[in-house]
Amino acid sequence: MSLEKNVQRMLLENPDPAKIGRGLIFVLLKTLLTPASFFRTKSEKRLNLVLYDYARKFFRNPERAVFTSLFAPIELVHAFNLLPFSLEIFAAVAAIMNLAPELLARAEKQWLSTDFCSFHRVYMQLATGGLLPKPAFLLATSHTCDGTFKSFFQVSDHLSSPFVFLNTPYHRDREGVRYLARQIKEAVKRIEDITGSALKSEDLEKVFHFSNEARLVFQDINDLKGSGSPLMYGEEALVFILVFGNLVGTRAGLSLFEAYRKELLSRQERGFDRIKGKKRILWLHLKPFFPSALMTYLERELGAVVVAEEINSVYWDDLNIRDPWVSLAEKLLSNYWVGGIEKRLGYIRRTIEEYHIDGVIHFSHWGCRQSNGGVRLIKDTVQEYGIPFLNLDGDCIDARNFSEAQYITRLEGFMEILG
Amino acid sequence: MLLEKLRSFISAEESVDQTPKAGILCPYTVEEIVHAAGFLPVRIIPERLSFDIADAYLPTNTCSFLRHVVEMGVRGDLKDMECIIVNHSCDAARRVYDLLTTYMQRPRIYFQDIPKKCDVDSRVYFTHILRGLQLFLQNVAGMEITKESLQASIKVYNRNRKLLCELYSLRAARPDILNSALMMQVIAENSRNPKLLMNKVIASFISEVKGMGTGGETGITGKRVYVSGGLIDPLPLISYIEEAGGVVVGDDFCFGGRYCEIDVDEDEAPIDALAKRYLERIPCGRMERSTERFRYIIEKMNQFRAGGLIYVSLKFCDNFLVDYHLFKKILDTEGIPSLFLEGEYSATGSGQLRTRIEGFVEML
Repeated sequence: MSLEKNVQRMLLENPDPAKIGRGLIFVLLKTLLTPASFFRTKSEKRLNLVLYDYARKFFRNPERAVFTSLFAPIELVHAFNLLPFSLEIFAAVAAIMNLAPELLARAEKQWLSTDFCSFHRVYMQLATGGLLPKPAFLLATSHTCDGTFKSFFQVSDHLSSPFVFLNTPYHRDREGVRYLARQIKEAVKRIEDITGSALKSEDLEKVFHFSNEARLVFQDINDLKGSGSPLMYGEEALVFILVFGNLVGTRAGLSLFEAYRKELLSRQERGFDRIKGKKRILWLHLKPFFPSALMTYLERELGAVVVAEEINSVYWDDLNIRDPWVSLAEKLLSNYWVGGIEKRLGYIRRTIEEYHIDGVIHFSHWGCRQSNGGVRLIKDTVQEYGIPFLNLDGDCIDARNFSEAQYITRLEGFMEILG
Repeated sequence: MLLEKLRSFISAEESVDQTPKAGILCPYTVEEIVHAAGFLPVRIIPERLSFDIADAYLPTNTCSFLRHVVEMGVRGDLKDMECIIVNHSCDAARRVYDLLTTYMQRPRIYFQDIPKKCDVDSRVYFTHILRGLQLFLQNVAGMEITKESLQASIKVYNRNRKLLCELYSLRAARPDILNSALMMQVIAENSRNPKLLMNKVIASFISEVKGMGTGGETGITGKRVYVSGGLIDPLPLISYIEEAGGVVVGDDFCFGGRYCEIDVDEDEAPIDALAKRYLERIPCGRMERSTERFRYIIEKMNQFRAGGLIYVSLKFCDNFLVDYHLFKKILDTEGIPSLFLEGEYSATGSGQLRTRIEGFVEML
């Protein structure tokens, strides 16, 4: 039996949060020893090690562990010296480890419809099946989708762990910001009650400082890899979500981004040209996290390079410690997936223009109504620029219906149109 | 016979109605404000089952109700309405609003956000949203919506809810006289006709039904079933249940049982009172308080002595789909038999559905 199968069996037959920690080691080994490692960078290795270290702390200190949703204000959690971990990222880890098919099958037996997003189905199984530690509490927002807060509520109910929920309003007007800011303020009080410790303003200030610095550095990274000759592959950049999801507001998160920036600057200075002459792609939404050669094939074989990823965009302004709750509310409401689609279309337009995009690919994750429902409007927007658009229907987590050959054929066709 | 009575009541009361129409999709639309602006709030009910146009605008894994709405909007079927109000019912509804504002020529559209919570902060925010709706409607109507007109509308709608609730109680007590298929006809008429007219019609209808029932629950042999679900066309489903020997004694459909619960406080400032009522009404799957809805359903089942629950969700409706995962555990703990059905907006002609319903009713 392969090492991979052994790990899967170990985790699924003996659900034990500590063993998931060991599973993470396996994921890291797999990442570091992948055959494509000729391009693996020092920063990427460092990212793996930092994340591993962080995950280990998370598993070993359940009293400090907090389940968070992607884009939740994790700065608040770090300010309490707690350890936020995005459940969506755990679902992605489960997909990387090939655990997802078994977890999805279990979900189906428990009346979770296959029409429901596989991220949610998988993390609900991870969290309620004893594969993750029982957290101190859960923190989620509603701004990416309805499924997030619904599934967090159910996990919280199952584990009898408190659920801190921020209802993100549709509008980013003055009243919308105030409404969300009041909820954030209440959330702080609730966390104080749960943890029994008061939030210290100097801790929040420190977290805001790291978050703001990381924001600036990350914008530099986006510009470095988007505006000139390509300096890294998009497939590698899509792992930044791991940092955004868990480590924004920490020194470790900032230092990771600084390491990436340094490496990209060094490449730029020495005239790095290994990806020169490629067609420049804007990648929208996420990618399949289970083992697949989809993006590798696009970037290594077909002559394209993803120079901008929607998920990595810096959409928010600096956090302001003098008005922290309003500032965090503004950050949440700036997200392109909140409210109407115009913000997202604005980002697409700006990116096409600033980064000289040749083609746009949207990966339509099954069950993501907010993203997939906008594909027609995105397509029409992209076509205003006379550049091709490709929508790939698929699933980021569930590999059971994935047919790599079909995707490759579609990518080849798209590249032919790109010329 | 009662259905004919219902129709005759409506035609007797109906004048040639010239009131301009405002299309609504969801029962969280605050109809009282629409009514006070001089519009007739009309629920948009898809009438055909084809997606010739919608498939080019929305992915096929969007619920059939919203795909129908896009089909109708882009085709021009809604152009005679003065305006449409799309609610923040779900993620797909946000995209439907984006699509309609971009690809539909007319009419004008308003997007009404709805908080998922019902605490004081959420109510304050919701009053702001409702003032926005008020301004929009004033603009479309070219007239001011006064406090007095709002108060008058609230009275009409409170009366309507009270009458519907009374009818629901009557239905549960006397399903032999007032069956659910007929009840659904009343609901359908109520969602497209002026409430002033419907109030008279329902009152007459109630008197008629009461006049027929003198001897207790005679003639009921069917199994008593409660039906819970989201935005669907319930009539075919109800008919299948009753044809299978079941008696539907209650429902919590969007425009059915859940629609008529809880009045608006007539003594409070109108917009504040409306915000309170709409947030505190029995929640639908989109709200935070799922367990409150489950408790409500179980209470109603006990009250109406229902022996089983049929839970029906639109395909691709995340809010109702995921709720069943938790609800099923509660139902099992309570020892309540349940059947989960996932389907399209209209269940017409589904052989599989019939078979499953027949099996469930037989099991009861």
